[in-house]
Amino acid sequence: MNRYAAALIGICALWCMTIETGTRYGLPAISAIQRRVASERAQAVALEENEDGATPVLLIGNSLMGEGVNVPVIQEELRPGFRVSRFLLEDTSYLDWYYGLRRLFEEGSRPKVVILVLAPGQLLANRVRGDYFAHTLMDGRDVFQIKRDLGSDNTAGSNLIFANISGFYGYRVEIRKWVLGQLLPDFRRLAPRLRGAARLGSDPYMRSAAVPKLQQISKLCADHGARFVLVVPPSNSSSDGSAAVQQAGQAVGVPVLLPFAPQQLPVRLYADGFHLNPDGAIAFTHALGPMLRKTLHTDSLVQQPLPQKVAVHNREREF
Amino acid sequence: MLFDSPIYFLFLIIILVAYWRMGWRQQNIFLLVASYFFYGWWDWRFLLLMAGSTSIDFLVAKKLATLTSSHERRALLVFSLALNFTFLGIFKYFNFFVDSLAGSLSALGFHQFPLPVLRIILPPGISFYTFQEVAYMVDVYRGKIKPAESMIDYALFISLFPHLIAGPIQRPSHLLPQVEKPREFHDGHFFDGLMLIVSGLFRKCVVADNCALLANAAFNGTLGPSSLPVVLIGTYGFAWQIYGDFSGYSDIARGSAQLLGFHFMVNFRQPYLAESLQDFWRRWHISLSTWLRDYLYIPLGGNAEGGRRTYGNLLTTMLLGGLWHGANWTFVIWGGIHGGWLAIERFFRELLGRGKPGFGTQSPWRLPGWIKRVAVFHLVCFTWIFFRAPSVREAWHFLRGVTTVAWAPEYLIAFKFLALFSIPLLLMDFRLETHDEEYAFQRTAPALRTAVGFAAVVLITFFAANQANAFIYFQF
Repeated sequence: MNRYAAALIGICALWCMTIETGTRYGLPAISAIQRRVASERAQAVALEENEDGATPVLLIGNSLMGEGVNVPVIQEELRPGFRVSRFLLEDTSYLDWYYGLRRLFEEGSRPKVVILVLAPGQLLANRVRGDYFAHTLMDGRDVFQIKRDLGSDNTAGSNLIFANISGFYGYRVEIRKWVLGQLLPDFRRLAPRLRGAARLGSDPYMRSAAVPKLQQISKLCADHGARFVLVVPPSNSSSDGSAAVQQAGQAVGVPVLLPFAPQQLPVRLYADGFHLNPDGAIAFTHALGPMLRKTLHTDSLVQQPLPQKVAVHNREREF
Repeated sequence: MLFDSPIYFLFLIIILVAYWRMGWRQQNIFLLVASYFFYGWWDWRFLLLMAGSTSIDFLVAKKLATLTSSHERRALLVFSLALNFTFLGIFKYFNFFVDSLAGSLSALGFHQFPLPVLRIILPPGISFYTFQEVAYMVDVYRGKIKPAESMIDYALFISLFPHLIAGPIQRPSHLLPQVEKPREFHDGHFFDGLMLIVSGLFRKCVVADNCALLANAAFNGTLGPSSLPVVLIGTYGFAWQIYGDFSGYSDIARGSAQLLGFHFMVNFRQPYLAESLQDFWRRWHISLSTWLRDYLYIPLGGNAEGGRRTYGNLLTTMLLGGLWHGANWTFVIWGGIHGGWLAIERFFRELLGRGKPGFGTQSPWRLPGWIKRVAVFHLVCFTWIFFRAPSVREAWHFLRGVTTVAWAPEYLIAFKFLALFSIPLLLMDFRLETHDEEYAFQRTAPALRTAVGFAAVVLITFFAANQANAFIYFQF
């Protein structure tokens, strides 16, 4: 072979090994987000009942959950009977979390309650967060089922497998975003406009589409001793499908909590018309807490009766 | 397998390692099996269709070569062409024509007319391998080539995996002789093949897939309501997306073929540097434009009779060329605009240049070269709106945004983003044009080419945005 061809192949192979090694060991060191994800993932895997008897609760979702649920506040709302662990991954949808839970359960995670925070469009979306999902959430053995659920072809399926195995291939989109952010610092302002908008169907369609998904994820959790709860975050849109999803939950006995109806929260509590700001998160979490307590109190998996609160603003928790 | 996916390169490496250890006849059988595996990876259900159509054409060509009666030869040719175009018509155009007929009947007041609709999936690559088979049959009929002696060789000529799904459409006189004789391993060609693949990946993964983000956002409305900036961002974005995508695919196809010892024809020669639309069609999708010229335009009469007949032939050729791209009126309109403008250019070329040497090839417009290039680029961009839009109505809706001047700070960021990913390809094209090279940096010292190749690989590593963008021409 031509020595330059050999040199090119050799250098490229060396480069591939370098970036793979660098991604696996270097990325967590330099990326706060990856460190957080790794830490929360590890906590989720380790989740189980402790000696203190507090019911382990796994709170999962995307940035709507991250920006909308104040974890210390929700922990306060649910104390002392529950211990909340959060696992947040931005830009995820139902399938990310269904298969993510499958892998978490497989790895030994044993929460008693799983709370998934998703907008209706994200619940019904037939998508995953690509290579990142494949590396962070997916169990390689599920690839054929995922391929079927996504309606993907063999090449897309093989990409998922490569991303599951390779750290670089799994994180390359994040690396690209970081590089772009350095080259075009204001790219983050443009990025939301480049994302395709979720198309919501009619309410009857959404209701019928939501039923099998709620049943599927609820059964998955029940098979591993956990109760499933879906929480729909507040929306600034008049028709977001939340009522349809709630009706679907009622039809199949899956709790779907809707602390605020669409457009019920004032616009000033939103950061960008979609995510809540810190004040909005406080308001939402304070509304969510009592709903969760009431829902979980009726759950036979709950180990301890919940103490009654005297006055929230006094922060008194037991009597 | 998509050419920019890891599984394709795993496949290619395995093929190469085995291929160069075999003798020539074994290589052909091996490549044929590999090509059918490659095709089956896309959709195994259509393997039988491709095999069947290949077998029929092989047998028909052999028979054709033995006949002496012109009547019988013509009849056999017509049979073969009819069969090939029937397959293409059923799978690609049946529902389109039924829907169009239904729309026309409805417009005439016939609302309850039941029409059949077939639920058919489009077989991958059917447009490309059908044209290749047609070229083969016509060339055998004309006596330009002898029919293939071996069924294996002919089947490999049709199905050779680098060009199977989206071309370049190979002429029988160019590729079949390469299939029918031993290939030799050539150091320099192997290196050129690698460089072509790297070039293709850069065009596709860095340029096309990033520009696609802007084009998709503009056309589907998430960038903002249609306005002048959105139209410009979307149109320019798509112009560079489709060019990067298709030229990238072609480079990877040519590079892969080169690694196997085959030479594929060049498919793009810096099309956005064209100074007239005629010049554009000598630079864009060359394998298709020359096919249309040799197997449609010239048989229709070409420019032999001049005047209106020539204009009509140009328009017909481009309308059908547009329809070849897809079963949608947007493609017909796209082809119609190209055909119409080619006719206009020809008219002015004859008007202004008659009697002058070389008048048939020069641009009719007496303007500085850079102005002509900018003008032709924008004319082509205008036609891309119809090519990209999912329907004629949406194309017009998008275009109407030109009359609305609205601004958002994000639009400036979008223009910067577009410039970041399109200018490198434009600069590469200027270099190719200036140095008259077939590959980028072809005449540069090998050490420098290696360094440039590696630099491109690094850029591909960091900027590839190919999460969900299949090659555009795979849908044709």
